[in-house]
Amino acid sequence: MTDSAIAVKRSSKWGDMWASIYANKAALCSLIFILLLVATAIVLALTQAMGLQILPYDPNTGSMDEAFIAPCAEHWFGTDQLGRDIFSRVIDGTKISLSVGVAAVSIALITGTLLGAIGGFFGGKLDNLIMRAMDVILSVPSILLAITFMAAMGRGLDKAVLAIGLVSIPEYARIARSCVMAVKANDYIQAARVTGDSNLRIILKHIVPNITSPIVVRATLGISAAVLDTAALGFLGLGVQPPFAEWGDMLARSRSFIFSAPYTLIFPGLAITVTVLAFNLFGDGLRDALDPRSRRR
Amino acid sequence: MLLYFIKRVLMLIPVLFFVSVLVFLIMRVFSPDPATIVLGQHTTLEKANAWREQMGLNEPIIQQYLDYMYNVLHGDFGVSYFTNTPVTTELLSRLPATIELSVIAIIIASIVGVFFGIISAVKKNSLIDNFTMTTALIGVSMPVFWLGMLLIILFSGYLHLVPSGGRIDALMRPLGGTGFYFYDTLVIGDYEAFFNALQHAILPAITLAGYSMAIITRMTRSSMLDVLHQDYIRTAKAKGLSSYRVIFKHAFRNALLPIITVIGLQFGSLLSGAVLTETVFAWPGIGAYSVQCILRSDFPVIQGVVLIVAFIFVMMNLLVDLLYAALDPRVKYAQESA
Amino acid sequence: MLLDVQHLTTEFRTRRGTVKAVRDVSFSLEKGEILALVGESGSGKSVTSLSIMGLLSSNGRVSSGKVMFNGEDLLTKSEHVLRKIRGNHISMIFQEPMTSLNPIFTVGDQILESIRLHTKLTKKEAQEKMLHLLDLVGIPNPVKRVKDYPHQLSGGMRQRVMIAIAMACEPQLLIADEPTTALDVTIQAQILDLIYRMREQFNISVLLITHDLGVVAEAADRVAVMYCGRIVEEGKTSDILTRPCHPYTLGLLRSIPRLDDHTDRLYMIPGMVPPPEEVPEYCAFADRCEHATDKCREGLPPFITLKDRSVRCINIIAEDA
Repeated sequence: MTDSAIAVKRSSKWGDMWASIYANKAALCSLIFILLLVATAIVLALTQAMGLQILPYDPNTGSMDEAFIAPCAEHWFGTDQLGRDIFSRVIDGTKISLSVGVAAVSIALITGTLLGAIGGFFGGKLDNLIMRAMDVILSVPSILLAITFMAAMGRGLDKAVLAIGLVSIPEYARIARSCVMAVKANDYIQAARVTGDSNLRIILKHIVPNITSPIVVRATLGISAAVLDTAALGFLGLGVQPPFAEWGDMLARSRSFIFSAPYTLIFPGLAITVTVLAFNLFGDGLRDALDPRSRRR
Repeated sequence: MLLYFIKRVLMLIPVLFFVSVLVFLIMRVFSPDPATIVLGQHTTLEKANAWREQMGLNEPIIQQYLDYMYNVLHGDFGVSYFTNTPVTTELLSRLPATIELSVIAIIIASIVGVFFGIISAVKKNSLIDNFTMTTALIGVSMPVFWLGMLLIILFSGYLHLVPSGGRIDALMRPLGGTGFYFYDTLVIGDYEAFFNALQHAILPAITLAGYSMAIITRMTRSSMLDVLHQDYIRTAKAKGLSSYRVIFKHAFRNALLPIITVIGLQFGSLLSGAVLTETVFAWPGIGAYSVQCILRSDFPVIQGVVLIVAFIFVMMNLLVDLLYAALDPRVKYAQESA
Repeated sequence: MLLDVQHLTTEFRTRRGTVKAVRDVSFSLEKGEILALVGESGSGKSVTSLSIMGLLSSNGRVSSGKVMFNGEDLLTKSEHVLRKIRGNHISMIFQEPMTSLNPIFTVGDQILESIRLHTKLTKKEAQEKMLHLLDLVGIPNPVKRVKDYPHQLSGGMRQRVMIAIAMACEPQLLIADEPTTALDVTIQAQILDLIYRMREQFNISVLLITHDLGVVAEAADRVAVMYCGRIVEEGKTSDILTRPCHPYTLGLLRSIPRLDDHTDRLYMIPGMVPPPEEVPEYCAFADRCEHATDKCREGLPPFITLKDRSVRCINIIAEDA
């Protein structure tokens, strides 16, 4: 197969992908929602860095006179035990959840893909060592392992990112390894070797394009898992420290008022669920688009 | 089969060994000096040193590991920094509560998940399929602890049907016994206490089951759909079998293999999901307890919990593999011919 | 007459609308007769057989026609009644013996299931019958083989097991859907021979579905050639194979590699089979036919009955293949 033939095949593959996502209304809506979330987070971060407040209220301060106001025209989602506006806090929480999700997935993706690709490409003892290490990580349930890391390293958002990222390395390593091994077995790679292409050239030209789609799918679904894990760590009091708004932490603090002010925990939970749902739906749509074989299920 | 069994058990040893090393390293390398945590920021150097000496933390790390593992293999997980009681005692008193909850949860998740998964697959693209799949998708997207709190608001807050937390009313707690309340109350014939325990368990069990239920439903559906497209299903229909027999005898028995794998894996993750569920429902198991210990850096307890859960998790995987071999004639054959 | 299919039309609902897979197909089968239904993949021959069995997938349905079996129309029967006919009076074997047997049940269990479902034999009698069946289809050492799982048998052996299952209740009609396609050439002949023997021994009728107008069709008494969901030529095997009248049949015959043929290249019918949604309302073969005239595209050619066959073509060729 010539290079141009590969190029044509690839561009039509991405074209098909967009057509397939466009036809999948749930995935399309999810994508739009995700883009909206990302835009919100970026705008919030920028304006707050400039000292501007575009939210209806300051998410981190409130007055005790205004504690526990049920949802009304002034406070759409009500106020919490410290009189802070829950709507502003839920919107502000987008920043943390998304950035932790993306950061944790990036750590896992980069480390995992590299480890898996190295193992798969070079094989032998190195491969064996890497994959056994991955097996060990996989033999402890992931959220428990993340909690263990947190227990050792102490609380904090940066540590939560690290913990969530570390425990999901094996998933990417496995995907990357099996892709690389499959590509390596292909005739055109053998041919490239015979014609004297360097390892680096082979990796860049043939392997990278081939592992992109499974890794992208995994990463999209990985963000949804990371958002859930962040919320779980926040709920256990291991993530963000006060007064910053984080959905899991908001839920933990609302727990004491579960009967007296149930609205305080409806909206943060809804925010987590909808965000995770969007990433799941988009990830599923992406997988169906990139791997037609899975569409039937 | 016996050979396969022995081989699989032997393969566990290196995995468990490395898990113990990993957990030990996380606890000793990543963590700050426990002396300052336990004795406070303002402790003197001598006091801290004396405490470390007493805890054996001044030994070389390999020596520490060997000592620790020697003790673990003898059933001794060390002493809690805070209560000074042996970790083994602390955990043993709480393990029954967690196991009881997890077992009820996995039973609920398996029965409901498999049932709706089969219906969904058989009635593919029907109203009930769409409804089930949407519910399952929301189920995997919802934080466990939020689901728990919503259930509390609805069933104990508004409807007053069940208590919002705890394991049993204090006055009804069975004394002595195994610590498994369902078993203990039935053995002494205290049905009132049994139903009281059941009332306490129902919400946490459903909460804990929720995520696994969704995963099992999705897996059952896709596995059944795969099987229903197979040629041997057409053969079974061509024989003149009823659709009931085709679905349950020919299709489900084949679809069961991946379903069992998922159920086994889910049981492992249930144990860690218990950390969140137990916290929400004030369920006195190792999950809620380990959260307390994490918040006060009680490393020996956390280390013990992780080792025990990892052990159970690995054992569940072994059980799944063995079940797989027992159910699928092809696995046995591969072993015999190898 | 055992089976009389009249004007059968089967359609499928797909994303691109309703598609006809079988168009107005009629044929009949006498007791003890073997009819080969020949066509390329997508010609509608397998759908015809599934329509007879009532085993179409959920998006397919028979939109018109009759399937008369022993004088009764199967299409009007309830699922309950059909179940008593399937595997009992009409049996079926499939192309892929590798995947047509359930991998988790023993060979013996799968044969027993059929016997016990349709007969009132005791367990012991059924087991004896099962061993007898395995012996009949030429499986050596049946007592040992019944405990085997499908994956422990070769492809040919599995197809013999499939035939044993099909013969379990001594059916009147056996539908064999590409029974030899997935097998080695030497095994093919054995399986064809076995089907032939079953016909001799039990006087069953066989509907042999195949894409192979050569060896396989030769086993049949009569041949019906299908193209794009329609039967285009039908007649006695010897007549069709030696003197095809429809250009498509001729094309199929010429594309079979032959030992006595010394031309350099194998003949290929020009063009491609149109997808089912693009089958025209005139002769579907016209666009690929060397003999086609404008008249061929004016309407569907009628079925012309000659003295030894029927042909759906207005430019009947008379040529020795």
